[in-house]
Amino acid sequence: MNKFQEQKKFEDTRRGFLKKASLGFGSIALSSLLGPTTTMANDLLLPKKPTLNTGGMGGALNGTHFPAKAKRVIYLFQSGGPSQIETFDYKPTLEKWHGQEIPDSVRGTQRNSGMVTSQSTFPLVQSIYDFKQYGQSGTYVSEIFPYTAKVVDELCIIKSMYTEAINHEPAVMFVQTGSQLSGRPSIGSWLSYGLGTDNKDLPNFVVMLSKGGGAQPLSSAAWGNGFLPSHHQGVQFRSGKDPVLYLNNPHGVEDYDRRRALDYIADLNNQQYDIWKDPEIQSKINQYEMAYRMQSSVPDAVDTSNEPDHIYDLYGEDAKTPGTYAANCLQARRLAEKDVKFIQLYHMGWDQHGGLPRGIKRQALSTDQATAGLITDLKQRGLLEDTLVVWGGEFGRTSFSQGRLTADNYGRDHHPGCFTMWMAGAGVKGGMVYGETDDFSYNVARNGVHVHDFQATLMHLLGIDHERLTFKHQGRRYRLSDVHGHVVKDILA
Amino acid sequence: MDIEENAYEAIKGSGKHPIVPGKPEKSEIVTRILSDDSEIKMPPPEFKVELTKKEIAVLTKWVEQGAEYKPHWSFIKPKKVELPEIASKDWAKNEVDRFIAAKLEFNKLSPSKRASKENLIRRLNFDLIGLPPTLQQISDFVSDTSEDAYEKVVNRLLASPAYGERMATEWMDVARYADSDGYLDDKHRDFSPYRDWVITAFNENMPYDQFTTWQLAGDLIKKPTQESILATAFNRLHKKNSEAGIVYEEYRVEYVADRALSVGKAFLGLSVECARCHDHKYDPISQKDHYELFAFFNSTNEIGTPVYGPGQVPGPSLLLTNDEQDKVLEYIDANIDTAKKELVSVRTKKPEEVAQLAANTQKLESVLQKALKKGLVADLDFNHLSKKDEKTYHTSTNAGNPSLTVVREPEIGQGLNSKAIFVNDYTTVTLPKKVGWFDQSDPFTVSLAVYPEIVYEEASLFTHCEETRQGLKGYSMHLENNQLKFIIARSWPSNAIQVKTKNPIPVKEWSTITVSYDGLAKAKGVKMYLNGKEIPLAIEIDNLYKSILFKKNAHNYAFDGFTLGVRDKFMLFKDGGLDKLTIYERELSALEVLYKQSPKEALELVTASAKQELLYDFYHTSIDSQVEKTRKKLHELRQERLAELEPIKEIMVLGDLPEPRPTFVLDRGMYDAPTDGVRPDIPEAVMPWKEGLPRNRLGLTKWLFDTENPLTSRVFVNRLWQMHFGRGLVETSDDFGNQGSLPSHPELLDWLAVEFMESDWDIKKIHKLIVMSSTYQQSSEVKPELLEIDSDNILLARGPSMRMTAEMVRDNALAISGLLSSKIGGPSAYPYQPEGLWDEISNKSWRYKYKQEPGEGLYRRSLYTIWKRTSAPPSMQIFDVGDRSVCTVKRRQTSTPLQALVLLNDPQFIEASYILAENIIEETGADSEEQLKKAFQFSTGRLPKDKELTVLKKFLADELARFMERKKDAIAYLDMGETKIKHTSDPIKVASLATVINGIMNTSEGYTIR
Repeated sequence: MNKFQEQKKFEDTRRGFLKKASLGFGSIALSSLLGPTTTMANDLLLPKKPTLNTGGMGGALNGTHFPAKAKRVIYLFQSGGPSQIETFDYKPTLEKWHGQEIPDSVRGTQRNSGMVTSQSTFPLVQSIYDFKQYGQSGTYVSEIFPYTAKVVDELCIIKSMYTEAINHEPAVMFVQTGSQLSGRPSIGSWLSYGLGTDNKDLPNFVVMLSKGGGAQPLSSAAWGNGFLPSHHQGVQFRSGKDPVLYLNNPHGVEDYDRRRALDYIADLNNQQYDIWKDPEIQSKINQYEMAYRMQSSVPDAVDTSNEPDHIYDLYGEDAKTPGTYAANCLQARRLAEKDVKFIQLYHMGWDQHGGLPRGIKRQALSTDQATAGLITDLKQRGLLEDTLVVWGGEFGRTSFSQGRLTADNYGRDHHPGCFTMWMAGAGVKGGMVYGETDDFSYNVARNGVHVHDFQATLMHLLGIDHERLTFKHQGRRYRLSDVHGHVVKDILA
Repeated sequence: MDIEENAYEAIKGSGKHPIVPGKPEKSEIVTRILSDDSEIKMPPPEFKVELTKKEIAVLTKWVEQGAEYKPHWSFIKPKKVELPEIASKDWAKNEVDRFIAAKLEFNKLSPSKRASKENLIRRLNFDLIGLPPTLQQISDFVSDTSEDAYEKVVNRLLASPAYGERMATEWMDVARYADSDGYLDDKHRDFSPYRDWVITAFNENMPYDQFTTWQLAGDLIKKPTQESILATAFNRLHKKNSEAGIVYEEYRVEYVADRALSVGKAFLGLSVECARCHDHKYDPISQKDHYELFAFFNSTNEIGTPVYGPGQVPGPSLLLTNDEQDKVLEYIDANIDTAKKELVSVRTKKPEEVAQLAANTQKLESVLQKALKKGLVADLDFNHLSKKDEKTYHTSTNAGNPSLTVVREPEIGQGLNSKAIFVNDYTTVTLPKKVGWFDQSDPFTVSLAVYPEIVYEEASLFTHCEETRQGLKGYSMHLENNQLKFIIARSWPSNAIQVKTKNPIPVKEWSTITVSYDGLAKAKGVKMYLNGKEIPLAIEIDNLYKSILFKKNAHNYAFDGFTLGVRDKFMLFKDGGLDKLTIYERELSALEVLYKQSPKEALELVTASAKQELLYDFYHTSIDSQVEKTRKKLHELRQERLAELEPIKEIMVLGDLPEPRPTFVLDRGMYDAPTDGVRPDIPEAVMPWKEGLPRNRLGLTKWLFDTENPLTSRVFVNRLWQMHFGRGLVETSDDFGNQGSLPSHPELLDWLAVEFMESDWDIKKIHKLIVMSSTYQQSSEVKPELLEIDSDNILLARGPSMRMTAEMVRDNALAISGLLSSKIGGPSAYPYQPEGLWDEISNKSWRYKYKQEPGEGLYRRSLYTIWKRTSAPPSMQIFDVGDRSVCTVKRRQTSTPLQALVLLNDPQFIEASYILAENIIEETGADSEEQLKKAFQFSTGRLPKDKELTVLKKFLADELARFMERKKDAIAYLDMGETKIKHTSDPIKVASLATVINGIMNTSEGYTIR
């Protein structure tokens, strides 16, 4: 009996149904009868059918759950844990506390990392950098971000982010995959799986890496597909001659040679299909065509040689150097134009345990202009309307000094208790500051946003109910937001 | 409702019954699942899940049939049922076929014809050894008309050493094998001896119960061997975190949980990790069950951070000596024993002149004073500090090395006699380099006056060691609740000595502490003195065997030589005072130590005849030249031993603490939220524990392999089936629980499971049983009518077909081109990998470089490709290789454009193509049709059909034409790999045929097992 017949059979009245329900099952254990298989379609607890079809091609949701505000995401991941205190979380009160011990009442039971366990003193430290108000919104931004300050009316700054992880790798995994343990699908993989693609000539989840000083390593598991099929893994775009691994033809093979070879391969595949009649062969033929299209569309997408000078002026001089954060930002815009669904940048080097004043300044110098340039560029092209831009790291930093506090130097340790992220563009309110930390930027004081809330909100903006995009693996339905997460409705435009 | 009684009982209040057996219309659950009323509807709308019509029907039907509660199918012990009667008796070759045919007949289907012989041998080869047959092997088989031609191939393949490699490849996913730790730093760690053990075990067809028992408890079996202990490396292959600032215990708990998870998944097919934070939602595994299983693995003697640095291996570890090294070590040890005996004997001499000293106080005093100058390498009193700048002082030592001790930012206060150093947050006291530079074979003595301001939880007094993450390599003394703890370590806490005093030293008082060590690497050779008097010690660790000398490499830092008051920025002796430091490069006798502290008391003690042994001890320890000579000999022997030991590799293995570590249920799985204590136990629902079994890992394996255990055998035979059919009889081979899929052929699964147990867990036997079946030998040709009924081929009316695994794809190319290295085992290899991948993810100065190998290393089987957890081999990842972060038993099969790009562009495949092309041309000569036939046969295992040959001819002609026109392109193409064609070969012909070969490799049959 196929599915259609089944369906028909049971579309009856309740009473009738009761009479008719006579399937050929013996009396085996109920649990066994109900044991669902691994496919979604046979799931006991099937997700509700998506209602709208505004997603891309080939997504598991076959559309979105509700109208999406964002069609794509550019996620500017600042790896290492940027200090909220020197960037966005302006704390004038710290001035009078500067150098004094953090009160126990503030410190409470929040955990600190093992790195400060031997410290006998925990002096609070104010930002060495000044803050000013900018834009219509009058939002405070640190002087290390002069360019970001200019686009502040586009940003929705969330000051009340908090996480559960205190060490880098687990914390990066937590933000990127919803679990501290590596091996789960990253956000981009979930979206690729749920929404499919809008551009079949390019990967729909692209990753680009760049490094500042003293960077902590990253793991490729951060953009891994976890238990989702491997075509949902992030595809790394790299500077250099091979922008995607294995993209270039071997030496001595021109594009038309490749085309001809592919035609022969297709021909041979078709003959094999005649022998085996296996539909898998047909799908291979398609894969080869897509590979071929990628070979021309990727170099085209990453070729910035035709970008005019005023664009480079916008992103900064660095944008001319491949592999820099600025070059990656420009690349991100180009990919957004081509409807790549999820563009993930990582910029390493925000881990200032010591020497923070210099370190964070250097990080700002290598990112600020390009970040703002990207926002401006997206906006002038009308892309900001349906592109969501996210900025943030894996955790914040302590308001007390790690190591010695001197007149011009100090450090800050990892701090999961509060940190700042911002979103801009599609579906979020610009010029908004959401959430507050206490006077010490140590605890969330109002409107806390947990990492899972952030993930739920991001998915919501893409038209997905985060509770309904699930994948069954080893007997459990997994979600990006685990079993938690609430959409932060207040920031939605 | 989970329990029968509750479900049948009336609900309090409403009086309704959730279930009335046989009466769906009176059962509340049926009413509710059919309701549209959001108030009562189940599941409630806010759950955002709905039952399918079929599920509703099943539930209803079940109630109608009497709502019988039974244990989950996989928890009922498997039994062999009588073989089903079938019509197609001729077709059935063995028992497997009887079950398959019965189900086919029930579904009115007939099996497919037997696959062609060319096809069969190729299928067998990949399934059993992961490599293609040679053309000779194909033709031999095709022309062998004997009855047992097929069986001979099966036997040959099962006996091939490549079989072990193929099986090990599968097992690497289970063991989450990797060459690095994972997490932030992802330090590299060579576990290849374990992989070699796995290969050998499969090749020797080690019974599965032994194979598993060794891996889980090879250290606990009767008469453990190096091999059986090596096997336990299985449960140290979890990821390991060496990030600075982690809480060690948090990650230690993580590792233990991973071990429990792996045992659950690998051997029981259950996801026990779901019960880590709360009771399992679907399976009868409570949170308590989880921690009981966890308890078996909780006693490993480890800390949560894996040591790294030169020659560092986190304990417990196993020295991988070979026979020759064993002999050498035995020889040295015998000599050491002799020397030790000699030492004892020379120390028994009691010369008269020594006895006379007791009577001559003056002489004794001068002898003592002279002796106390011997071996003195540092003598500091901190009374003369010369200021160098705002924060820095220098002071010189009264003995030995003339260079200066640097004191930074001290608080200077009143000490024993004059000044002393007091420690603030930033104080450091660092002796000149190489002062106190002792190996564990060197005797030495350190004495220091200390003034504890408070009772310290932990505070360092002096160190000559690296940080904890580098094994505390060296020696160090610290206070723990003001008890003295002295450590000599290579790799703490396993390869180390640790002793502790029984009583705390007084607070706010100066105490002189002295530690002496005899250089024999045993805890009993350590003595401690408080104000000149020996104090009792508790021995906590006594397992030091390797050198403790600091060696610099890219991975270690934070070694500042001999320092006071702080250990690697931690364990600050805050506000404590430090004074009078002496270091001797010899062991002081008790008399000398006492004399240093209070000369009068020492002299009095000796002159009173009762303490003559102190005097003799002093004489032997510090004066007697015969003792010194013997000691020197012993020292040389011990240094020789250390030199011999140093290069011997070690590997992480299991090894429990003498007393099991207590285990608790952890609230929400948090390491710091222990609740109820538990003892090692297993999930009762699977099978109860058998009384009398030891409550340790060995007992656990006995429970696993008890013939009553319903899961162990089923889970493994199902995975063997999965290897051959691409899909297990239970499709969810990683989940035999409630949420897993039901077996497609439950009786066959049980029959195989029982057969496996009855055969004493003979793995090769089950392989053979499966591949000898007619079921396995069917053609995989897809019949359109079958596609509709059974697209996933669950009923097996046709033979299996699947894409090659990531490893096979590459190994096949290497094999057909003749490039494949036949070397088995050894450390991982570095084949072709796009440049820069490891550099892009890290800025660390110590980051590992991907050093592509010259020669053979490029052509090892993919099983040996270096596996870095934070940057796994990219081409294999693209082909769905298993994720090595946790235990996995099943891979996904996806099809992506990136796979096409790998096969078309990766130098590995281009090189294989042109080397194969060259071989074919050499062998067949100029006949291009012959060339193409060979090329096709190498790449697909069969000869091309006429139509295919026509295409190939055109293809080749096109390629010849273009390379003729552009010879330099041919030359460029042929330069892609490290292996080049011979200068006698024609580049145009080779490149042309190579392009065609690469094309065939890229067709479906090029990388599909048909």
